[in-house]
Amino acid sequence: MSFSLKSIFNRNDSRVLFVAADQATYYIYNDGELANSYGFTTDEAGLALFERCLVDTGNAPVSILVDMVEEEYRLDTMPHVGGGDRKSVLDRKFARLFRGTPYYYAERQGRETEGRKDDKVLLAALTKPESVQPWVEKLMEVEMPIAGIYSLPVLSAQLLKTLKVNAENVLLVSLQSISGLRQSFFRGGQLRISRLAYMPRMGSVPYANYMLDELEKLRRYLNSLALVAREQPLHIYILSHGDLLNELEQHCRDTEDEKFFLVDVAEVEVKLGENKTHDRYESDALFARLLTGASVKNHYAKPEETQAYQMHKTRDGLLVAGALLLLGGLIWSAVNFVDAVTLRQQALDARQKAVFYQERYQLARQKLPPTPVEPRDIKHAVDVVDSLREQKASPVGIMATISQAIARTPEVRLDRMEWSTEFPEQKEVSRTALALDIPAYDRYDHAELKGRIEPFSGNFREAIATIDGLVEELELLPDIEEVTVLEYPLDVSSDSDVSGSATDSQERQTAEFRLKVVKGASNGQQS
Amino acid sequence: MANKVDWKILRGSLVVFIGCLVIAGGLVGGSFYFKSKMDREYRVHHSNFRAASQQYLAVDEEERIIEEYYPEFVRLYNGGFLGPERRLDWLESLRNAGKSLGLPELTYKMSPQKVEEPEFDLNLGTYDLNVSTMSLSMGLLHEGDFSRLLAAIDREAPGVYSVAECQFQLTRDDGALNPTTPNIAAACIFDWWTIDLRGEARLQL
Repeated sequence: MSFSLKSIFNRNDSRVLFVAADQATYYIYNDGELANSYGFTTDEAGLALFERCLVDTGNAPVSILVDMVEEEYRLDTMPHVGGGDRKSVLDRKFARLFRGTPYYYAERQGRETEGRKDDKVLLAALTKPESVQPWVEKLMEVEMPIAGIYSLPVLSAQLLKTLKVNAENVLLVSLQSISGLRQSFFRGGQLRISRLAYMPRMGSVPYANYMLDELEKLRRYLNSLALVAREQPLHIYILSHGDLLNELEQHCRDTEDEKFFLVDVAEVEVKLGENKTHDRYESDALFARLLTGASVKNHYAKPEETQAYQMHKTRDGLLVAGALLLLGGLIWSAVNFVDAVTLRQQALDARQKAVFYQERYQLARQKLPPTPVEPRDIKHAVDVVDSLREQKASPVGIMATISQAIARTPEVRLDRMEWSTEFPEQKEVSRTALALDIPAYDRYDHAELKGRIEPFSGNFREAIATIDGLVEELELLPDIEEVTVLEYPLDVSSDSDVSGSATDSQERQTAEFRLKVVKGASNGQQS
Repeated sequence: MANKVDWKILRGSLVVFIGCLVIAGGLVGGSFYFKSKMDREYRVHHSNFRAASQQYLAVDEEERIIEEYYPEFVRLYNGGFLGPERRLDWLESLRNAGKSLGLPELTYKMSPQKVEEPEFDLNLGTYDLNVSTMSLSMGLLHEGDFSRLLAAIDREAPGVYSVAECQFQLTRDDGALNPTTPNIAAACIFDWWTIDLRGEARLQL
């Protein structure tokens, strides 16, 4: 199928092919209005004319509406399953009930209230597919998209909604010029059975009486099947028009069990959106009209028959999606553009203000003396030098402290001192000081002392006591954090070797030791 | 029969759809780029405006800082704490101190200056801490000489220093002090600190 601008914008064009047993009517709707209708017989000549008509009247989706005697309905139940299981169960049922036809349909009609609560289903099928297939083949031949094949009785449920019928038992009666008198019984808004009766030519018999006779036959059939709910009357809706409607009005009398509602076909057509009413008592065009409105789910058509229509719907979807994308893109970009222009204006304002303040600042700065760096950096440099002065370290402080202790232990002589300083992590200092409630030091001076006991009599016990006394003296001095003896004159621990002379010897002996002293210092304090 | 895609039907609408997608994408992308650019421009100018206005409002504070700190800044610069190091002045001060204290022995060795991160917490801001390390060997008559030497350097030498390490060793075994020869051998490491602008820039008055 070719693609043209016309086809994009004529979305309201549609076609309905109303198929009866031996003839069909082709309804052409342009821009939602019934433009024309053509009748064809189901034979070679009729199909040839139909093909020519299809070519001449242009391309549009076609809905096939079927109303023929060879349509069967069965009420059945099936397990409440879905997906592939439901399809399998239905396929078995269709194969058993309607062998040999590809056109079947199932409609769920609620669930049973007892037992395993099976689904109630209406099963329908066209038992003589050869009445429909020539039309379908012809449409596919000329590449007309088929929207679906619809059953007139099943479709009638839509009409009840239009007529706002809520009664429990409803019998809808309509007269179709190409098929006959259709009587469909609904219970709770759902189709239960339907019957198509032949109608003689208009004028050959009293039509109203004939119709009511046919109605009575179905009435008796319904009673025999006990389909009508006993506690509710049967509401009979008869669609007609003009003289026939008047004639029916005279014959239809309400009883306790039956209530008649005579509906004018023309009025219903207006309700369905038809602008031009037609002076006809048949409902052919009315049912055709139902298929041009809201999307109706396909009843009988096979997927391969509606493939072209699905492609058209996909095409339409793509076009709509494209248009929406374009529109969305335009709106979004317009919003972005407006935001951008606003930001640009705000940027210009900010720039002007910045220039204004910079000029004012330069003017104000001219009054200040020139400086090699920014004023805040001048202050910072002074602060940095102050900090450095505070951090200045020297061994003088710890030397004075150690001298103080040694002055009180004259037997001790220092031979060597090694000094260094350590800066602990600032956070660590604060945390420890806070936890132990001790003064926080900014650095620690470490001194390792090497000395001896002079004079040494050879009494190691005395020498060790002297060294311990020195340690105690040191520990008493302020800011001393730690005093550790690294080495005594004699190592008397159990895991070391000891040797020497135990007699009074003239040989000179020494009592050397090593100490480690740690002293804390705060900033600005001589350590 | 499996459903097949009929490209003959879809081709035109697919082209239209892709066209719309490209145009819409182009419009949105272009406008988004334009908006982002304007947003960046606005942020830059707004930031400049805030900085300029704060700078303007801080002029009084700057005036106060200059009045309060600039004389000290100049003094520190002239005193060798800021700007280029005064290595010659340090050595002269050291020599003078040694001479005036009558130290029998005083030798030094100075390493090239380098930028260092201080071991202690110090916010240097826009400055670098330059450190020149001096190794000093001294012969002392007694330990008081060392304190006096440091006091003399403090008095005379420009800049600020810190003693990093020291070793003191008695040179005589008997413990007796000789008034004419060194009794204590001392070896110390001094860090001479100066502050200058960060990087290649140099502070000049």
